[in-house]
Amino acid sequence: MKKLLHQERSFHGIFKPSLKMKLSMLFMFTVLLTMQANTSNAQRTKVTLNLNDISVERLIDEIESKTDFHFVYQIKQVDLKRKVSVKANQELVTAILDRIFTDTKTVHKVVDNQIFLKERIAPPPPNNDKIAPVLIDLQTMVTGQVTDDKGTPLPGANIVEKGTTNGVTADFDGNFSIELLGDNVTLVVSYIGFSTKEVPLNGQTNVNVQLLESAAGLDEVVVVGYGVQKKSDITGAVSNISEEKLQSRPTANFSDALQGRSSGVQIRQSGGDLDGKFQIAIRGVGSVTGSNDPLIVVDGVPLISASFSTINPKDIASIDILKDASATAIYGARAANGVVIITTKKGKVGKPQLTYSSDLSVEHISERYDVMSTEQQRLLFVEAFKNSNRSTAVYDDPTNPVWQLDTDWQDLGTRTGIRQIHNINYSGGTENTQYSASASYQNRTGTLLNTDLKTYSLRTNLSTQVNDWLKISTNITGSYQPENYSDGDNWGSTGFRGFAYQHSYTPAYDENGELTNINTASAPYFGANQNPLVPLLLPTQERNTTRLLGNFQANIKLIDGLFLNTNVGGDLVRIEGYSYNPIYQIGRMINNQGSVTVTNNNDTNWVADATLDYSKDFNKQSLKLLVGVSAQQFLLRRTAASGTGTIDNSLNQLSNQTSFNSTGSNVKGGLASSFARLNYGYDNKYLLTATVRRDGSSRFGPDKRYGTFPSASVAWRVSQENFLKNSTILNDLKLRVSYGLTGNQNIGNFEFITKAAPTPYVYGNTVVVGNSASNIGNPSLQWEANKQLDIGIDFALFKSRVSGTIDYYDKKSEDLLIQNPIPLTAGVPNAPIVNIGSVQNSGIEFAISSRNLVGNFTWTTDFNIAYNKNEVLDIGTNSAGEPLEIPGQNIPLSNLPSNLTVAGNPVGAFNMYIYDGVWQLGEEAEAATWFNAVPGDPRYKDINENGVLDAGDRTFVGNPHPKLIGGLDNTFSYKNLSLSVFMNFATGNELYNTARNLFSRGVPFVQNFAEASDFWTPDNPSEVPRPSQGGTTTTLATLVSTRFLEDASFLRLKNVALTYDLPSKIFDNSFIESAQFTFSGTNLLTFTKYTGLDPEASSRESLLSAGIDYTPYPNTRQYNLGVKVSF
Amino acid sequence: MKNYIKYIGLLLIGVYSISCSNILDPEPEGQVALEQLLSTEEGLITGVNGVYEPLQPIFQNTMVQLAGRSSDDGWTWRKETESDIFNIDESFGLIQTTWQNHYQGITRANTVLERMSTIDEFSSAEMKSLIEGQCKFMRAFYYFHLVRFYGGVPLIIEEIKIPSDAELPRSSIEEVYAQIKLDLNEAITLLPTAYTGGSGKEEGRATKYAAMALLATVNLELEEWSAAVTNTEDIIGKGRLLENYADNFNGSNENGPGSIFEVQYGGETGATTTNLRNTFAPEAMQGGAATLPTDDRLNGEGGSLSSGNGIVQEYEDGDNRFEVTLADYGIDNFLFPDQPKGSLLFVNKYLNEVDQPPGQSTWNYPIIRYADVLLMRAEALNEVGYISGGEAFGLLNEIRLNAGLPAHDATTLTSQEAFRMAIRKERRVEMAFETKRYFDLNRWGILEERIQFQMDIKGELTFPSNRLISHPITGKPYFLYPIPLVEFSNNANIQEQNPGY
Repeated sequence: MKKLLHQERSFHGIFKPSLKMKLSMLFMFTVLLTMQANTSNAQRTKVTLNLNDISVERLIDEIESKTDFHFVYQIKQVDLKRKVSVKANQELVTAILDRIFTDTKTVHKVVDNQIFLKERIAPPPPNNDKIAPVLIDLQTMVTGQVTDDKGTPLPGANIVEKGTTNGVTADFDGNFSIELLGDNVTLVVSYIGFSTKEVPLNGQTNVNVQLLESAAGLDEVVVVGYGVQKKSDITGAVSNISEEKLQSRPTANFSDALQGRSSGVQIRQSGGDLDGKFQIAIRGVGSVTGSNDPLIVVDGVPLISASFSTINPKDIASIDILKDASATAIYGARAANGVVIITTKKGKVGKPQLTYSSDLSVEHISERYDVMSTEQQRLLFVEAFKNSNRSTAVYDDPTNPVWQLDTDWQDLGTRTGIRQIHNINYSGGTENTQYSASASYQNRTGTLLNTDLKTYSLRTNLSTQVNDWLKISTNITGSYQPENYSDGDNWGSTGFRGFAYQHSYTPAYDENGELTNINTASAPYFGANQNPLVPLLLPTQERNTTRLLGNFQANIKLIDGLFLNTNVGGDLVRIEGYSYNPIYQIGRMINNQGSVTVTNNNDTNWVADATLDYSKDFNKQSLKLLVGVSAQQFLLRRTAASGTGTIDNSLNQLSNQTSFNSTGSNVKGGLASSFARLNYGYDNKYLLTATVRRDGSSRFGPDKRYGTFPSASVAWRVSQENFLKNSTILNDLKLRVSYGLTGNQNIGNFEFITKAAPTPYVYGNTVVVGNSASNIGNPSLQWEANKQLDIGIDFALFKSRVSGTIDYYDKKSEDLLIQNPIPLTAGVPNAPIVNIGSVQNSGIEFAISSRNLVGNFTWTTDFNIAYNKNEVLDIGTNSAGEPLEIPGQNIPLSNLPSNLTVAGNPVGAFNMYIYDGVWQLGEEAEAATWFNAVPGDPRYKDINENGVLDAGDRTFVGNPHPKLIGGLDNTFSYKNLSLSVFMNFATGNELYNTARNLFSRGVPFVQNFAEASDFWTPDNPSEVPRPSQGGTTTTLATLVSTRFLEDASFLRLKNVALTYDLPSKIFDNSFIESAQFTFSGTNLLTFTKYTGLDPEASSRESLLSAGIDYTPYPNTRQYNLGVKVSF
Repeated sequence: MKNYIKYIGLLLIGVYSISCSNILDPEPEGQVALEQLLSTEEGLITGVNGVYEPLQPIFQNTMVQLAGRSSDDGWTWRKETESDIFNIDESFGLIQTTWQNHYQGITRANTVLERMSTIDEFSSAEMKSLIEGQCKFMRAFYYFHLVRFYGGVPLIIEEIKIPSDAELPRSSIEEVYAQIKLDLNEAITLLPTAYTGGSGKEEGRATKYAAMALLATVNLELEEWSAAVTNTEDIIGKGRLLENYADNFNGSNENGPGSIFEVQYGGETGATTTNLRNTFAPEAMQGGAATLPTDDRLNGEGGSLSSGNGIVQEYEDGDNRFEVTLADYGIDNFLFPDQPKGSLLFVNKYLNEVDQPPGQSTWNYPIIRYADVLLMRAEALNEVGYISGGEAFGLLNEIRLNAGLPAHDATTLTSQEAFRMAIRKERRVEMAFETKRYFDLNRWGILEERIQFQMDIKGELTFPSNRLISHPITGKPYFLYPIPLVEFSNNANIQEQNPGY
């Protein structure tokens, strides 16, 4: 087997002997040539060969197959293709090699059973008799152990002979042995998270190396898009979240795992599904109407589909978040919202490792709504009907059997959820080939009945150094995720919200245990009297997601320092949905015929890119240059078919139906790009990065198709200056400044043309095709431009025990893609999208990591906090010349928006009436002129002081975006025990609680929240509006106002994890290497004034309607037991 | 070796750059540029279909509320929308959707009319005039609604190519009517009396008679009585009253002899069917009963203007239209639980119990029925001059006899005024809940009087008489809805709001 010295693609590492080394080699080979015959056993091995006209490569194979010898060489130093003929009969191998390599550029050296082939430094001396043989003590083998400062072995540490690529990794006990190529060698020992150490051997053959933990992780590599960079060389704002942090608690979704981990990254939950949907916002929000989602790149494949829960969080090795323009500009037109780069686990050189981990969790709904008891609801009926001039007769008698039932729908519709995660990972590799593969199974039974989610996933990452110029690697994941879901996150949805909606005095089950429902609409069964378990339990709603995500990369070395890297990847997402709404007749809930809906979403996304990568170090300067091209295409195919008409629930397939309806669409789009990046460093002190990308996008018209996105940044590593170099306090200090332009192209496709929209009509009963304009095309549409300035400081103090980063940024999003309203007389449903206006996000991010205590008892703290100010600078004017006002989505019933986007305020700022208590007795006259109100009716502030309630009384009252967000992680460990306590927080934002807007208005049509039972009466002059059913009081009580706008600041004890590593000695002589148990609790405590279920809820993706809570899938408190065993 | 690799590299780059141009120029699939689509006759026909399409939403919720509930025929117990009590403001949602729906129809018609010129050759001269005639008819139809709801509106008669094309000032009521009449007179010459079937010639498209009947409606609105007589002349005898009144509404005689012009509903989706059934049906029958018939027995209770001039009381004994139009279904009185079962009436005309799911009815909705033409002509004749036992009596009696009621003669209707009242009553009953009543009350100048009567019974409410104008053509007091507020922001030229808003 051939060992390749050149194991890894490297920019620096091509073996370049120094002059000193060259001389030593000269001596070495001289000696070798003279002493070849009198060496070890192996070297006396004799072989018989009879080969004609074969390549040297073949010959090496032959010798390897017939002897115990292994050849070690660098391909460029040996002419493998040279044809030779060998005839040998029981001849010494060395003799054969002497013959073969005479007069070539190659010499050989035998150490034990390894034959090193090296480039001949100088021609052998013509007459070696005249030179006296000098015997040099060849240091050929060094052994040792790598540990941390406490003596704990560091398995997997890298040991490299300085100036070469000759290297090994430490085994599980930190032990290593390395064959040396040179003499007077220095070993470079490195380990992730520790400062790299150089160890001059000075003749030692056994060295113990202690590495110091590097809090700053300056030697860690960070993935920066089309390449990696050492953290110390980075000039932009990039934050990295390690595997350890990501894996510290069981999460369904990588974005969930990101919550609170990185400064300036906000994660909020929406959706009525079990996996939840997460919105990620990096450094605030810049786009008003476009998407604010960052670009997600998994192993080099930019994703277009958002089903992130199909990416197994257990497979993730690290997440790098590119924040400033310097870091993101390499992704050009899609980088305006930041870039999240996910790297999955790769194999490492070393013996195979098998790890099994398992998590078992129980989940409870952490909060629930406080609804009225039946008796309270009855009293509400009486009062409301009285106030609305309706008969209360049926409601007056509390002894009526109807009022004896108090069904707790929230209890009946939910359960304790169970979550299991099983994951097997094996990895390992030789110098040539590394592999990492995993299989994972996750099963969650939801806290809502009839909801569950399973995920099966497989991943294989492989990489192979084929020869000294070619390395190929593939990463492939397949996942399958079947889900039973329930609709939710809407005003009157059937999910958890439905349990609050329906009246408590109707029964859920009959005496036979069957679902039941009342069969009358007569009083007292007024309003919401449906059994919410029926739409939860009876329909089938399945969604199965299949995803194949992978890529193939080839790295080709063209000449020293110059590589051609190609990457071809794809992401295929297929989501098939099946729902069946069965026939049932349960009291008044009647569905006469079944209906089936089958949906199919096929997203195909492929990317191909090629980059040329050049790096060179000369004197004190280092240069890296990257140029590349990239093409990406996406095809989004959607079909949906629904049918109705079955009269038998066993005929629940589409083909059993009698009438059908179907829709379909097919969208193709693409991006063609070229880009370049220059990294220049002088003396490790002064660093420069310049990036430019030119993107062509199908989203824009032919005239505006291309955009160019440049950025530049400089950094000064002050700590490398002489005056600081020896500072014991300040170990690292880097100042960074960057500025650049990135783009956002996230608008719909084909907005630049006037599109025909289907507007079918009917003649008789035959539907005919109809067409009409859906918009007014804007051929000059182009990107949103994002200009960002970032000034940052990275520092490490006190032997790197404290390290941190501070960034100030000023991000201006310009040429915003905004739907500029047109008069309705234009007759098209969609206003044209134009580039207009700007939004500014400026803020400060601070992250610090500190090892407070070291030694037997360690305590580390990671803390991050980010302040962001969001302001709309300009969004243009309307036809009348007034600044444009873009309202958010209307809140149902009152049909008023809660958000309004105008210049001078945050995007989607809350704008509504200010609740001012209720009209009291004695204020009748004023109340009447106000809005025909009477005492007990809600009262709102007369902002425009015109004495009547009108639109002018709505005003800006809050901000949906937090001013401060952050996280605090404390880890304590003592021997095998470690405890991690993680909290996250946000403050400065409000959330509109639509549940209260619906259930606290004192309108008895629906079950009300308990707070409404303190309603106003002449005898109870409270500040809770009087109940009503219809009329002015209802209109007033339903208005969107500050009564339902709540402070959403929170501090949450997100996770507490106690980990115990079993002592390794109990596994001596066992196939198990290590075992770890973790007990953790998630969402244990939340300190907040918010009265809804979750202060982090945000139901609508559009920023214009930010900060509205329509009750997403309920948040849970989780207790988890995790086991991890390595073999 | 290395050279080869370089070449491979260059080749790859080359391949990328070539493929890129394809990536960036995707053909829109399923989404066609309108320009391209309207460049053929077939495409234009789909454009014409698109011109009709707004009728489907307009005649569901919007018209029922703005032209039905706001008359003295309907009321709502929910009282969450205010058109019923004439308390709407400029930002009232339906005001905006109505405006928008109508302008969608208008601009679509404009676009088709303009694009016609780019087509070199039509399959027949007839097809060309069909396309042109229908667009002009529909444009007039939409403007006629607009001018009656809002008064003078921006008169857009050309294709909108850039947003500012839509920012026109309001025209006067007279100018709008001039355009309506121009379009209708052209449509009368261009349209056929009947359709033969086949693509572009399906039954249900506007005919010459529809254009004439619509023009007659315009004449009545403007009190051009003799023109109305002339314009209805040719239609008489071209249709007939259906023996069974219910057949006008139940899908059995769509585009049949009882009908001049209908909204076509059909197919399987919410978009092409009507939910009118659910608007009227009681909750016990999966409806919302959002509009109920006015009934004097309710004494002003239950919500909004439930009583006074009750339509329930308007029916004479023996009128076979009563039980088609109204029904109590023998169910609990959900508003007044202490009242017996069957004590509350609902609008029954559109109760489709066949199509599923309920609320996706395929039954067409009548816009102009033959009965309407008879009554229009009778009204116009009477206004031209009362002739005892004249043609007008015959027209009125044709309706009454078909309804199972005794005929009127010179002894029962002795004067022009008596005949006028009889016609008004007959129109109300014959076309109850067909969104005619509000327009009729307004053109007769009696809207305020009728509504205030109801308000007095309910109490506490006053008709906003400051919102009445004097109609520039008839001089009658005339109620106008407000121009949607949003238009004042998005069209700097629109300038003036209607009085009282």
